[in-house]
Amino acid sequence: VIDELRAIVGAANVDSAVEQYLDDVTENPPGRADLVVRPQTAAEVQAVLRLAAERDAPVTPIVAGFNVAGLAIPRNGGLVLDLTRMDAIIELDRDAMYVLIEPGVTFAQLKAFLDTEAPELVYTYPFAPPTTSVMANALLDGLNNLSLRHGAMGQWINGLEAVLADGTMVRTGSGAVVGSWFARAPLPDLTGLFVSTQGTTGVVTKVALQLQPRPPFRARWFAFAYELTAAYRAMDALARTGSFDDVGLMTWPAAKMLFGATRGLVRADDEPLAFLFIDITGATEAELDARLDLARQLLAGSGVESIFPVDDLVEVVPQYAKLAELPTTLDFLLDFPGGGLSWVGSYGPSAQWLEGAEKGLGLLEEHGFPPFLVARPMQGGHYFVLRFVACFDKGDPGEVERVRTVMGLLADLVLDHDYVPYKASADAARRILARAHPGFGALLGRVREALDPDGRMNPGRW
Amino acid sequence: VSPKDPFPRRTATLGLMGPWMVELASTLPGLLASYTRTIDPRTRERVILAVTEVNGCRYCAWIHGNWQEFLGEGVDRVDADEAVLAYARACAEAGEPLDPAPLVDHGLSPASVRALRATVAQIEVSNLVGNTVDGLLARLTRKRPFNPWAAASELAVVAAAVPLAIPMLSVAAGMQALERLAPPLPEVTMPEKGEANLLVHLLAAAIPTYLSNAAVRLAILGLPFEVAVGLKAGRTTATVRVGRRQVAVENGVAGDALAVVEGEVEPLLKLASGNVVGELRKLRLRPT
Repeated sequence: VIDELRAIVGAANVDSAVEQYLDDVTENPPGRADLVVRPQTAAEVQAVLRLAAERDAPVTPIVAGFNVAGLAIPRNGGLVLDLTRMDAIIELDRDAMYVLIEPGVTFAQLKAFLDTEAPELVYTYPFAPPTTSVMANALLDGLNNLSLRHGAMGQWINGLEAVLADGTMVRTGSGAVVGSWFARAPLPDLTGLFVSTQGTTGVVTKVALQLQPRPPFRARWFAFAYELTAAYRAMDALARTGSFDDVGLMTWPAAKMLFGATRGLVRADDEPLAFLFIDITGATEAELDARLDLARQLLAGSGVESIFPVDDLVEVVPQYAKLAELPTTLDFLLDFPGGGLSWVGSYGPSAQWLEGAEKGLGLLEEHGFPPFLVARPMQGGHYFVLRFVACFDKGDPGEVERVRTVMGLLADLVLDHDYVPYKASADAARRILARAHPGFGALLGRVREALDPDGRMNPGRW
Repeated sequence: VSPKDPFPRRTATLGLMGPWMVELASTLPGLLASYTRTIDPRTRERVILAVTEVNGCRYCAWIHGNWQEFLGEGVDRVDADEAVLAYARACAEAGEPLDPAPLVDHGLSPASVRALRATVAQIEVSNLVGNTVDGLLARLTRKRPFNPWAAASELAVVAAAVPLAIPMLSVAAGMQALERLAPPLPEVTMPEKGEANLLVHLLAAAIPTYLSNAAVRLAILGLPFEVAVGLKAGRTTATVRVGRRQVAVENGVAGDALAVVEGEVEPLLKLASGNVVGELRKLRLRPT
């Protein structure tokens, strides 16, 4: 097999040294794999998948592997398909406002490209390192800093090209029919077959992603909330106006970790429970000013206090740039002693957010972790995010087990509150399927049976 | 350098001064604002020194070098400064005011742009006058050809500048003395990072900036006894202890705090950016 793979991708791009692919930052157990293959073209991916089909070899695709859910850890041996060499930005359409990219394109690369080639346009960036994959974030339905306006990242996909388990190359969206990847509509929406399916339906080799206009006037604020109720009211009120680019929330442990605190985190009685991050733009200075006024009114009416410009804070405390400018290094999380990071992130209805947040924070504290929550209203407030975060020592088996336990409980807790985990870990996926309508499981099973009858594509998922 | 006149610097001739005087007149309110608000004083001094470096005026370099050292390093504003400094250098090299579009493109407000234009014009004029002093000295010492008419006009320029130059030189000498007398900034002591509240963390990060000014450092750290002052930003409280060349920050308002400074987070942050006059008015002082 090695010789045949070398013939496809070149000798330097097939490797039996797979250790770095067997583990990630999470509590998920290490996996196993036989070879790593690094294709550079869609044709090479096609040839590798054909060969894998002939040899009945499992295939686990990966780019940065930073999904924080163990989704790229190979479970059944076989091939790791490292897509980092496929890093071309194939097409930029400034009129239809989309970009067509390969899997290995990173957020830093796309940002630099747009800043130079299309400064009037902008993509949207996650609370994730700049080296992570733009495509993986979109296919896994992540959330970024324009998700308040435009929803989860799967909705930003206009279409894609993918290679199925048997080597068949397929296309979805307008680019499957005409020469422009302008939208998914008005065709049967086959793109969804590859969104949130975690690589089980095929390997995506190109994706067309929407861009947005970059308004020339911008202000960014932080504000303090001393009660969760006030924070919720503020997020809900801001979201429903449709006037703001982003409203995010983090609870107090994040603020201390930015200053280098790791363990022994204690909230003082007079400290804010959470801080809100608000991103406001305008096509004109007058529009921006009007939105700033509106934000002040809504925040004050919600009981949120101490509003101040992020730029003032960043000048004094440069560490805060890590929250204000996305993508971000996340070193204040990843430098935690022992290097472990895990979270349960979920999307759900706003009405259940407050109770879910309070109970989830309680669960983290009961299990010895600081009450670290990240939240955001999505798509104009149609749904919200609840993401519970834990940093831990990967070298401490007891702590790893505690994380595993609390993440399982948190997955159940969010589902109890009608929230559904995104980028669901194998454990969370089991819990989702256990509660799903039988018809959902049946349809998912049929889709997978049709596209990957041997169950070789990213095994262990869903 | 002309073979007829080997003096290597630009001096205050009508042709060279004219455009800058016009610029200065048209931005005069900006010049006043640059010394009270609108632009960070450290940025202002960096601009002045950048222009002075191009023009080579040793008097301005001495005055504003001392001023800059007196103010201290302050917050890191490298990105903002680069565009501003590039504009200032370009003006100095051109020898005339340039279109400020790069400053506008960089997102600076109209008031900031006006203040920066005025700052550049003011230091250009000062540089030309300072160089004229050296030019005149060079004539008198025969290091450049002695031209009575030129020497007379240079003498007139120098005489006109003396009433302003002497106070400036005196202020700079005072700043230099204060900077040398002020104690160095000690390490800020605070509770364990996990226990310190957010205000304590912010203050610990901002204190080096607050105390970068030599006069403030001398007045506060030079106290022969310890003074505790409470701070309340929003609802969060902290106590800062200063004196005896030490600084400590702790959670809550301590029982021995002399007074409590109350206000929002924003003026506290802006204070660190050097906007002292504007922001102090937004804070309240009450006894404990």
